[in-house]
Formats: sequence, structure tokens, C-alpha cells
Amino acid sequence: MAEVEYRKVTRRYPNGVVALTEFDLHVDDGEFVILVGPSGCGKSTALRLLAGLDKPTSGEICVGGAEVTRQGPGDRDIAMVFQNYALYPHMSVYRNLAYGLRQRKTPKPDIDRRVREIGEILGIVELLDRKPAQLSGGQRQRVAMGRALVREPQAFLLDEPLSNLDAKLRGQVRAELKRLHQRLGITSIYVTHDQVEAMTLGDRICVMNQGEVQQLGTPQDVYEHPANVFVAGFMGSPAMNLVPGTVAEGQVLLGGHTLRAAPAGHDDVVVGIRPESLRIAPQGHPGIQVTVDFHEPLGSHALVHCLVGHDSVGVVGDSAAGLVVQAGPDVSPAPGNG
Amino acid sequence: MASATPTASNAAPPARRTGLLRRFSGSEHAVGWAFVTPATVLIAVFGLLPILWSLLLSFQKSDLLTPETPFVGLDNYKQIPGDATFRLAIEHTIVYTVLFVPATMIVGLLIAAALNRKVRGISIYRTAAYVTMAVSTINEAIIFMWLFEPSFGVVNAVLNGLGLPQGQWLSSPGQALYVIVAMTVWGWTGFAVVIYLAALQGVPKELQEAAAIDGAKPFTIFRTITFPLLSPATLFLAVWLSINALQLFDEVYLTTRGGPLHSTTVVVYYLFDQAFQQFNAGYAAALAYVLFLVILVITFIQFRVGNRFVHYNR
Repeated sequence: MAEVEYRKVTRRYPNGVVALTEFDLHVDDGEFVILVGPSGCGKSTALRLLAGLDKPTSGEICVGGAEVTRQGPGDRDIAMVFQNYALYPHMSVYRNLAYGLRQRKTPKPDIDRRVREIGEILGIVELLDRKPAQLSGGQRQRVAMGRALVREPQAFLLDEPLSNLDAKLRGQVRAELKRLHQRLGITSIYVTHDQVEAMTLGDRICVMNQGEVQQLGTPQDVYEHPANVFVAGFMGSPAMNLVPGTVAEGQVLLGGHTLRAAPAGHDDVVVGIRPESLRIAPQGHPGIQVTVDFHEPLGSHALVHCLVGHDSVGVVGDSAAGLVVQAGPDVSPAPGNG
Repeated sequence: MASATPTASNAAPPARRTGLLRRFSGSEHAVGWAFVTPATVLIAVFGLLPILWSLLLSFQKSDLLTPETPFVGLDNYKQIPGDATFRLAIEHTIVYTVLFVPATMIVGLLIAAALNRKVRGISIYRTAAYVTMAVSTINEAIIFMWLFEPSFGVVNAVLNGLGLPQGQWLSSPGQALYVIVAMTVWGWTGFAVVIYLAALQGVPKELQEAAAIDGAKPFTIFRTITFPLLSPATLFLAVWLSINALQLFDEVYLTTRGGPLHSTTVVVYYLFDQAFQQFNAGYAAALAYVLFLVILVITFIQFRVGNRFVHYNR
């Protein structure tokens, strides 16, 4: 296991597209860091550069204190789980797991011992003689993780490994991944666009957009103190309400309503309010009068979409008719960067 | 859907026939038959009929000229084992097949692997590789006869320039068959390239990347990951090229006519010789049926053995 570091890494493609701009990231030994962002934000590029599958235009990548920027993928002692698992279809599960060890000239008895050990850990011992085509999605997922872990790599890379699983299985495997990391403590870098995975799995989250780091912090920190409007809008489900407001006389004017707090030094702001920080108040209670646009029942609660002036605002509530929406006590309008 | 007219069942016979005809002509069956009939007629006249006629011919004595074709039972077939020239033809066909099939596949695979990358002008290179398939056999034969012409040919000129001994090539009993192998390998390489190139593009890139991360070097990746995943294409080419090799005729007919000294007489050329030059059509038909059975058995074995090693990517 080792620490991983990106130092001002830029990747520019021949067609001029810049996938990653001066990317800096330090991952501690044994840490689980999530790279999260929308499609095309550069997160997979960052992972491929670390794996050695692509070369940076400039900058350095270090693993375990040693610079590996120009090394081939096989020389970096890094393992990777691909989105579609990339299991060798013509080999049995056993041979899939053993392939990396064979390439490293590991003695046969050691290969056998380690394959069976990892098989035990992941619960795939009974599948060792099967071919990947004979496995379910969840089983393939575990074999892919086994193939990566069996080599006891310095760092473990995961490129959207749960995206091909159904919702129920995704939850189970997510929990298994968390447990596995706690048990083995391998430095892990995990790419996803799913913020639930980001929030639940990561020691730290690196939110990316357009090839740049938007914020790096603990899940709670990113959720509660988003660095900018992009992070505020991207992290959290349901998404944070972002409503343009105007500052006047120390107060924020918001769609004809006034909020108490106002930041200094700004005229136009974007007010961010999480849907769960708003609540639906009975008729006659003080609050902001809104029009219910539509609502989405989610079982335990409903997400009510309301119109405040021309702006749509989501509120987590349990009713959908005749609503008065009241700003909760924890609403804290923040200055927007947008 | 056509529906029967209410009066059809009570009408007189001609009227009923008209009704049935109308019903058939308006049905999906009629439309279907209209589409397949031209192809069916062509296949029947130029495929099925000769197959059946030659089967009948193989039990007859026929010189294709005189109307008498006496039935001789299995005589034509009994004559085959004792035919020394036929044994020679089989020997040449086996040598040719054993050289031609692997050589075409190896050259095709190497070129396809070289063309399976993103470089400027790749489509020009790919077209160039396939163009050998577009060249007619007669042109191919003329080009190779020029290249290997003993006195003025390019090949001997190059060998002379390098100080190496020159050959008599198509005029030499010891070399002619190998020149024909070279000619047909050149002619069929484009086909093998296209098949392998399509198969290579079907191999997921992630598998090669996963193997690279697992520590495999490029040649090991090709040997252990890429090549096994090309196995359906390899089996197809092995079967297809073998069938074609066993039916070699055009190149021999155009260049050596089976000579010199029968050194390039292969089974189909010998069969042609018997039918249309010696006028032993019955015997030639029997040879054709023996060849057909041999190809059938070889193809069956190739599929049975090959399927053990073939992985269909699912």
C-alpha cells in the first residue's frame, strides 16, 4: 500500500480538448478517495493516467513516493476494476484471478494459495471453475475485484464499478466494498458520477468539473459547505435549490420575499437551500406562499416541486395539496459564484 | 389477408379455379414465391441440376460427345485407387493446402494487426490490403508469370542483383507448385485481412488494458488475450481457405496447366483434364464426388476439433 499523488497533471488531446487541467491530488496511504463529477469532467482520465493507460501532457504522478509518470501500466503495481469488469472471457475465474500473478512469475503454489484466499474473502470459491459468461452481474463484479486485489497492489483503482448493477445489488456491493476497504486498508481511488456512492464510500471526495477540481473534502464537508454553485448543485439528492436573489439593505430579496441573512460585498447572489431544509407548514402559519407545480412520491416522503415566482424549488414533504412552504430555521443563504 | 368470396363454393369449376387463383395471387405466399423464384430457378438450373446430373454421370461411361452413356455401376469409383496420377494430384493438393492455408492466415493476421490502429490515412492502407481480392485471377496469374519469368522476370533480376541463385520457377517441376502457393497467398491475403481486422475490432480494448495493468507485455497480451478471442475468425478462415485450397484450379489452369511433368496437377485440375481433355466424363464425375466427400469430412473434423478451442465472446 502506498500514497498516491498527482502534481499539476494536464492531459490535452491532439484535437485540442483538455480533459484535465493542472490536477493536484494527494491520496494518503490507505485512504479511500472518490473522484466524482458529471460525464466528461475528467475523472476517468485522471484514473487512466494513474493506471498508466494514458500519458499526461504535463505534470507528474507519484505512487509510494516514486515518480511513475512514464512507466507502463504493468510496472506501477496498481490494480484496476473496470466499469464493465473486463474479465477475460475465454478463461475460468481461477485463471482470471491468477493471470496477474502469472505475469509476475509468482510460484504456482503461491498463486493457488492467494487465489483461494481472495476467493474466500469475496465468497467466490465455488465459482473458480466457471467462465465469466456463466456468472451473474454481481458475481462478475466480485471476480473483477478479486482479480485486482489478489496481487496485493499498492493502489486500487475503481472506474464506476457499480454502474452495471441493478439498484438492489448496487447497495449490497457498495456495503461490501466499504467493508473490504476497512478490512484490507488498500489505498483506493474510486470514480463515479453517483453522489450516493461518493457520500457513502469515500474518506474524502474530490468533486470535478471540466477537468478541474472544484472541491476536495470529507463527504460531510462537501455536503454542508459546498465551495461553489457547481458543487452545491451537484452533491446531494434531491439536488439543492439554487435560486437567484438580490441583496438590498442587508437582506436578500428572493422572488418577492425577503430572507434575513445577507452576505456582505455582493449585489447578486445565488441562494442555495437544500430541499430537506425546507418544510411544509399548515395554512395560516408564517412562511412563503408558493404554488405546487408537481410532486414525486418517494415512499417515506414526497419531493414537492413548487414555484416561487418563476423559480422552481424542491421541498421534502409528505403532502402535495394546499401547501404553504416555510423557510426552516437552518436556512443559510450563501453567496454564489455563478 | 385475402377472404373467400361467398359465391365461390357454389360456382362452376372454372369459376372456382379462378377464385382459387385470385386467392393465391393475393396471398402472402404468392408474394413470397414471386421474390424467391428467380433465385430458386437459378440455383436449381446451375446448382442442383449439375449436382444430380454429375452423380448420375459418375455411374456411367460418358465422353460427353456420343449419346450412348452405358451404366457401369461403381466401375468409375473402383478405378480411382489404382490411378497413379490421381494419387500424385492428391499429394500436390495436400502440399498446397498445408502451405497455403496457414501462410494466408499468418500473413493476413500480421497485416490486420498492423492495420488495427489509428494512424493518418489508415483507410488507404486498408483498401490497399483488400485490393488483392478485387484483382481477377487472370490478372493475378499474368502478374505472377511476369514476376517469375525465368529470363526477364523481376524476381530473378532481384536475386541476380543480390548475387543469389536464380530459379526456373513455373518452368521447374520442383518450384512451380510453390510459385502457385505464393500467388494464391497474395490473392487471398486481402480476404484474411478483412476477416481478422473485423475480428480485432470486436476485441474489447478494456481486456487488453486489464492485461497490461496485470503486467503482461504487448506480445503476451496478443498471445494470451487477443489471439484466443479471434478464434471464431481463425476457425472460419481455416475452413473457408481449406475448402478453396482443395478446389484449386484457376491459377493452375492459367499458369502451368498441371505441368511441368504433372508437378502442379491438383485434384480439380486432374478432374477437369479427365472430363474435358481426355473425355472421361463419368470417371471425372466420380472423382468430383470423392473430392466432395473428402472436403465434407475435413470440414466436419475442422469444426469438431476447432470448436474445442473457439471462444465465442458473449
